[in-house]
Amino acid sequence: MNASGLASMPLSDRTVDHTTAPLVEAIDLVKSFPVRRGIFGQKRFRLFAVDRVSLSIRSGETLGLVGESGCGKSTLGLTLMLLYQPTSGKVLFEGRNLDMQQPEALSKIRREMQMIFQDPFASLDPRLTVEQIIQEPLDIHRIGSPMDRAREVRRLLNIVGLSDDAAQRFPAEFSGGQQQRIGIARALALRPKLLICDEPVSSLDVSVQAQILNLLRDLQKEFGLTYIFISHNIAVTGFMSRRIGVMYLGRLMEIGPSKTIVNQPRHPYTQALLSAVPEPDPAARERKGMLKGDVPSPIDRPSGCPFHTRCPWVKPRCSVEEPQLRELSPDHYAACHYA
Amino acid sequence: MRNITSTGKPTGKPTGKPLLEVNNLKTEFILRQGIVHAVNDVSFTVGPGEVLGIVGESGCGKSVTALSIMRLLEGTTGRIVGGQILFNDDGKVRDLVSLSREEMEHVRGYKMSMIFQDPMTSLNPVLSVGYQIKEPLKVHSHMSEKDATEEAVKLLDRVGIPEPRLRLNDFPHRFSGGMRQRAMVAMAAACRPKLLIADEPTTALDVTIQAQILDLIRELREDIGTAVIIITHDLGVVAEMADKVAVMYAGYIVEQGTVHEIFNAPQHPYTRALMSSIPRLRDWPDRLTTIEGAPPSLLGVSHGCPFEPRCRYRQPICAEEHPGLLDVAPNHPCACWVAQEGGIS
Amino acid sequence: MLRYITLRLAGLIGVLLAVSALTFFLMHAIPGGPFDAQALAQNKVLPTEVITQLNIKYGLDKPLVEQYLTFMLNAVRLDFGYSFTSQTRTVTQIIADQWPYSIQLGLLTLVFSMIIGLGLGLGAAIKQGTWLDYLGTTVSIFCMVMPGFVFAILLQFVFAVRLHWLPTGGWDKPATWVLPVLANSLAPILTLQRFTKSSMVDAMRANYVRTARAKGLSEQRVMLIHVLKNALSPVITVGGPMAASLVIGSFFIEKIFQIPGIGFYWVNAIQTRDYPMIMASTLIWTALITITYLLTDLAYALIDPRVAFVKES
Repeated sequence: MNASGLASMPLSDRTVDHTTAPLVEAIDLVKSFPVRRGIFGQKRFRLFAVDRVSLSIRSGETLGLVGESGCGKSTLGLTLMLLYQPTSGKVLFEGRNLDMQQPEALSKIRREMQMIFQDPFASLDPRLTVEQIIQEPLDIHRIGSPMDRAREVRRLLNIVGLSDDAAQRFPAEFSGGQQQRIGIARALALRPKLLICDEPVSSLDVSVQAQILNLLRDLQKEFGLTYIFISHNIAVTGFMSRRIGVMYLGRLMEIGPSKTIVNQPRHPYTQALLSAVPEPDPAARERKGMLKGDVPSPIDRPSGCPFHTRCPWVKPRCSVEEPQLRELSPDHYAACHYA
Repeated sequence: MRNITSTGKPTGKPTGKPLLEVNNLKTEFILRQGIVHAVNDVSFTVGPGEVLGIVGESGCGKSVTALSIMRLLEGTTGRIVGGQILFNDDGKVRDLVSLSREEMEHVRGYKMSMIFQDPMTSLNPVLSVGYQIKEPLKVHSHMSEKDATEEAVKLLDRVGIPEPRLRLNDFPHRFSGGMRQRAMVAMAAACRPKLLIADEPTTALDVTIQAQILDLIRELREDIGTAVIIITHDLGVVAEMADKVAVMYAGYIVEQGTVHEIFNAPQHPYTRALMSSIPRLRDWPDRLTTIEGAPPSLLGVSHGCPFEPRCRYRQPICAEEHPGLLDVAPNHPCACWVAQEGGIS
Repeated sequence: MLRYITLRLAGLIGVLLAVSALTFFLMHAIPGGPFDAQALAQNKVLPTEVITQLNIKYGLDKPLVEQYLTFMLNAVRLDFGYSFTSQTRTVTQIIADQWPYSIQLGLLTLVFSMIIGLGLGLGAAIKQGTWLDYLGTTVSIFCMVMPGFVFAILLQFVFAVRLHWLPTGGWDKPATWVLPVLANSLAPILTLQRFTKSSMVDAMRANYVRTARAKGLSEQRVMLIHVLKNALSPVITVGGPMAASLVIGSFFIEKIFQIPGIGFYWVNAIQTRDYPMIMASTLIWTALITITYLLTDLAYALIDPRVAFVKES
């Protein structure tokens, strides 16, 4: 693995807008997991789920992360919240270094970052009432008097479009869309600045998905929230995000304004991903399978550019030298030698 | 102009006899809480080599429709309680509902076959992939072990699995999700069926693998001229694959037409709302159109249009009487009082 | 594969050492010695000098660690010494003489309960809600509520004492086998019936069974090839240890039917503090169980290709 040329560059030259200070920054973030194979686990590997990712998210914006399963987008989300200890690299929140060694400071900052998940039902304790679920973070951080907390729960329920009487019911009594609303209300209880949305609509029906997406956008406008929106669905991510980052085998392959990414993608992987999306327009019908084969295993990653084994435009250099993110146009970066 | 058909089914395609004609299919599930009316009065036709897309949200009855056609509900709490499933086997038309179990076994996997949503669990983990592909060849086409092996090699090669002769002896856990779905396609295509039912064949797959599988199904249709029913919640997949589309909601077909009619001139308020509620790949509105509420429960009997509580255009009659499927344009039936009365602008 | 088996057998030696040491020292930690117990049984008190003499004769006067090492060194050659309760036979001889009866009883029981238990389980799963299912349930409830020794005595009373159809005891001709095997099968049948049924029902709900049906396979083929092979793994898991516990012998059954098996000696050894016998039984038990687990795992690998003992390439 060659040292990232990016790390030595001042951060401001990379993906940072000079006008707004970044809310969250990741600097050369790596998260790897030990993997054991063999009967006695004697064979050890490292799985690089997130590999040298640097990015920054400006206050009030939405950064979308897309990629196929195993690309590391969810792990990146969890590592940014320091729910996973980074293997190396740093996460800065409002310029402060997040450090597992300082649990108290970390706990304070964590209040500012909350998460919503793909499977709303699995992420809600079925034995607690909705009120208990939403109130829990307030109880833990001892915010307000019990009266205040009860009032706050009602306010949060109304914000996410549920009525007061939802408070005394149990999660199982709600539909998938309503459960996701409860999950959002719980995430908002501590009035966070950053919300990490990990596939928040993937398990919902199309007709319900739109309600949740609109709600998230409304909440962002109303409370000035910053989102990291993780999804395998590029259309949904594009609708939600100002910028999109495309990940493949733990690496950030391309990042830029959403419109640029979908209309003028420069990385061959992004191009392939976009061309594979079936569009709801029978006139746009065409052969979609531009990429052959499967994504390689993350414990046995290709040398050089991780995408070179499937890239339609692969050149000899690609298997030897790993391309780094280059700025191609303002705010638009791609990690391809030939982009 | 109302072109009323007595059965509520669309007037058949003018060209030739249909391969499959489903008339007023009704399927129920008997649960402790009551009867679930999963499929109600569903009628459609599929011509030879034609691709029908059935689209709808979870619980709309699209998968149950497929399982009913394959008669795969036996042994579950579900049963077909009415209607016909006429299958045209080289001029000999048979009603699949009335076939005995043994007779049906000679249709399944031979004349029509099916692939399922989850490739990870749809193959038997303790039998080799080759064994599973050879099975229908031996059972239906009465091939010898040797011939079946040669044919299985060809099939695996055809669905794009490298080194097919070697991979034949592999067990499913050595295959990736995409490869397993390819193996499922090979298995389904083994006896060159006249009809292939694909139930959410790509939902569990990544988008680049989904594209490969959709291409494969398309090629297969061109190669062996099989008709396809593709069942999906993904409007993109339907637009990509289907010649005709049936939109289902709460166990009913609410609208049917050619893929161009459904996508360019949808008539039913549900179809229209569905179309505008999905974010497009390159064109993003400020807000998405939403359908408020959630689909109704299918328990018990309902009067009226099942979409009425969520419909923007609802009229008093909608809550009282179910609108039948009536043509609102030639060969474009739609189950909506408002659309039938001159439409929604 | 070979490497795996070697490693597992090496593990067996470790387990045997650990179990033997634990048993040895625990056994000696219990107050009272073998000769007190014998004396008590005969309602007399042995003079101290006699006990000392006996202790010296059997080497019980030496330090424990030395006794243990001596025992283990001999045990490697399958020499467990003389049984304290028998002046004429060594432990090895007793085992060689009596164990075959228990093994025969155990194996017959295993075969019988496999046939009945698997049969009832399969029938109940395939024909859910029919008489076969209810028969299975009835039999398994009966096996559950009926204590084994009561059932044994009941069988003996009805078929031997009252009806004179079968002999009351002994092990000399096939007719004598029937009642003990029947009585001994109670628990195994229950376990096998329930495991077979539930693993069959699980396998029948699997998606690949729907795929098999969608291929137009006949119901027999679906059941025999697609369901059964998957359903067998859990059955093997319980079957292995069950086989081990059956061949080790049964105190009650052997006692009730006067079978000269080894079960009686195992139990008696503990009461009489027959140290060599206790040690021998423990070691044989441990080895048996460990080896059956190994065989079970190997059988797993034969049935289920996902179980890999060697690292996949």
